[in-house]
Amino acid sequence: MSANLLLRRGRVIDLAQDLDAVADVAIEDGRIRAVGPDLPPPPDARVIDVQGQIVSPGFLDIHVHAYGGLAFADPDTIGVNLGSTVLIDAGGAGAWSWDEFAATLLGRTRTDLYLWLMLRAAGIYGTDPSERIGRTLIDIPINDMLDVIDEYPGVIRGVKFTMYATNGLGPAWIGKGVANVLGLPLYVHIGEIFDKPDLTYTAEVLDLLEPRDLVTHCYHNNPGRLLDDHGRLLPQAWAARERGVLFDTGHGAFNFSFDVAERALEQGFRPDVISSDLQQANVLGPVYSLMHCMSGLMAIGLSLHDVLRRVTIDAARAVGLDDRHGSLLPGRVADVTVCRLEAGEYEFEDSSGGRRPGRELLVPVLTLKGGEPIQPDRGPAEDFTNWSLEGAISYDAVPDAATQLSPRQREFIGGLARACADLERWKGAAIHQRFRRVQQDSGIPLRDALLATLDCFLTNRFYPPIGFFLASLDRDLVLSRLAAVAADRPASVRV
Amino acid sequence: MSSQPPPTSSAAEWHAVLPAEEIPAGAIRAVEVGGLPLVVVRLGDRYFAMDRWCPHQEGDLAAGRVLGKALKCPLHGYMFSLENGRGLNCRGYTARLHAARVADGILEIRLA
Repeated sequence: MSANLLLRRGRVIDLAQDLDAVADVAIEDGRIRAVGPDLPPPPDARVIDVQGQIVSPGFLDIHVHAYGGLAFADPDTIGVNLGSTVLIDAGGAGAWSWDEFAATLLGRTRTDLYLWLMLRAAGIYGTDPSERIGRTLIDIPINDMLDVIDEYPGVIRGVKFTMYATNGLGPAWIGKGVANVLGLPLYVHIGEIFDKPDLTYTAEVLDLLEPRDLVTHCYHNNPGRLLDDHGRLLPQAWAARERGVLFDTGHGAFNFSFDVAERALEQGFRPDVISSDLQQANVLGPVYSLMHCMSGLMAIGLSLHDVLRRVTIDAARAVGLDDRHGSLLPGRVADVTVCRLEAGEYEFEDSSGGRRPGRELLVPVLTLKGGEPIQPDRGPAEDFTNWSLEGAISYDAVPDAATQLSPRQREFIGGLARACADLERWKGAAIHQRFRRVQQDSGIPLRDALLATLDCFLTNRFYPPIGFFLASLDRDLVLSRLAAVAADRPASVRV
Repeated sequence: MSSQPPPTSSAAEWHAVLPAEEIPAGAIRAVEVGGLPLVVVRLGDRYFAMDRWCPHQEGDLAAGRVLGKALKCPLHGYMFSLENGRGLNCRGYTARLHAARVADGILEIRLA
């Protein structure tokens, strides 16, 4: 049970209750007991003076990469450590890697973690075009997806689909159809970040979407943007909004342009939700944090209320979680973000080379998760060992952790080495299938099998989908390393 | 990934590029060696030479930033190790490195 708390005399902004006033927040047994002026402290409460600071419902960042090949060693470093109490991973796992996500991360973070389930079964790591994943119906295991949703109700908030024109419009229809079968919203990435095709399908995709569906990267400036060549919002974007389709920013390293955002805002097209798209590639800029993205939007005209609403109650409603997140109503779990507006001369970067000056920066001061105080700290998020999966790979020597495997894990590693030795194609899907066969035949728990395999190659805990991670490494390295670990030859080096 | 243009001179040859003192510590300097656009970075007493154009989408690394022992592309934040060229936050991408040394106060580069 967490200690009782009283946050004294902060500027409490809870837009779900139309509240912006100096008030106290009383927290008892990890839940909000009351919000109001001059409250008596709950029994044995620690009193924290937050005068001059903003006290908000915990922030939701509905687009981050918390799992998979783009993600961090520790998702809490971009969650509660940066003031976000809820994260939604955007497609790190698909139906094939969902149980790996569950075995490695789910329920093991302080930050509440949800998922946009990738339509592509491999999740976001499996992007090898030669495997044609996502381009054929047979690779979208709808029954498996239904099982996943039944097994963990509520964790999956929708189906993520990436609209890339090189695949044509067909996958968009499939994605929408699958989301309908599953009874979930579709979460659509728009914007051509890999190719520069002449023909794009953003307008057509917008016409497919229904109420509760969401479009991410709404202010990107790649081919397939929401503006036409004259800078006017596509009529399909307005029509989609009229129908109840929602738009979020998903800043990212590729997907946010001040020029586009300003043109859209001039026309009255505001985002419904602000999200960061934090991942390995952008935590050291241009994204930095959700609060940094919010501050950048304030620099081009959004108000403090505008940005707070879009990461609290509006974000919670957009993803169907407003019954538990996004407000400080009495009885709710005490997820609270305390931050302050720091005055100064700042420059905000977008992901198209654009920069804008700003005079205010939102800075995290304190996070409460279920009433537990957490001191925000950017350091762990920015630490090399947290954001570089590549840097964690030990190419030359067996990592120490691999010398500590249990006999059962070592036996599993030996079985995996033998099972992969005769693979004709060193591809993620094939390795994934062999891994699962060996794991299931041996009866070893999935988590134990995953950790043992990752320990053979990584010096830090990262959780990439295993088949696709192994496929990204040199075949000889993988096979020789697995054999060395299975034989308990820790001193072995790469053959 | 983008194709690498062939160097126009012998790869094994050391090219005198510029006085080493003209490269401040931590700065990125664009140079051309044997017709190949490169960037040079100095960390303390060590010098590193890398292809100028990012292997991802040809961002100009000369306009990037040095973070620790990595060079960060200004276009998408992809970071490349100055030690081995590997993409640190973008698995699968590697920037080409070239040998660099200082002889008699002159920075010399040998193309890979």
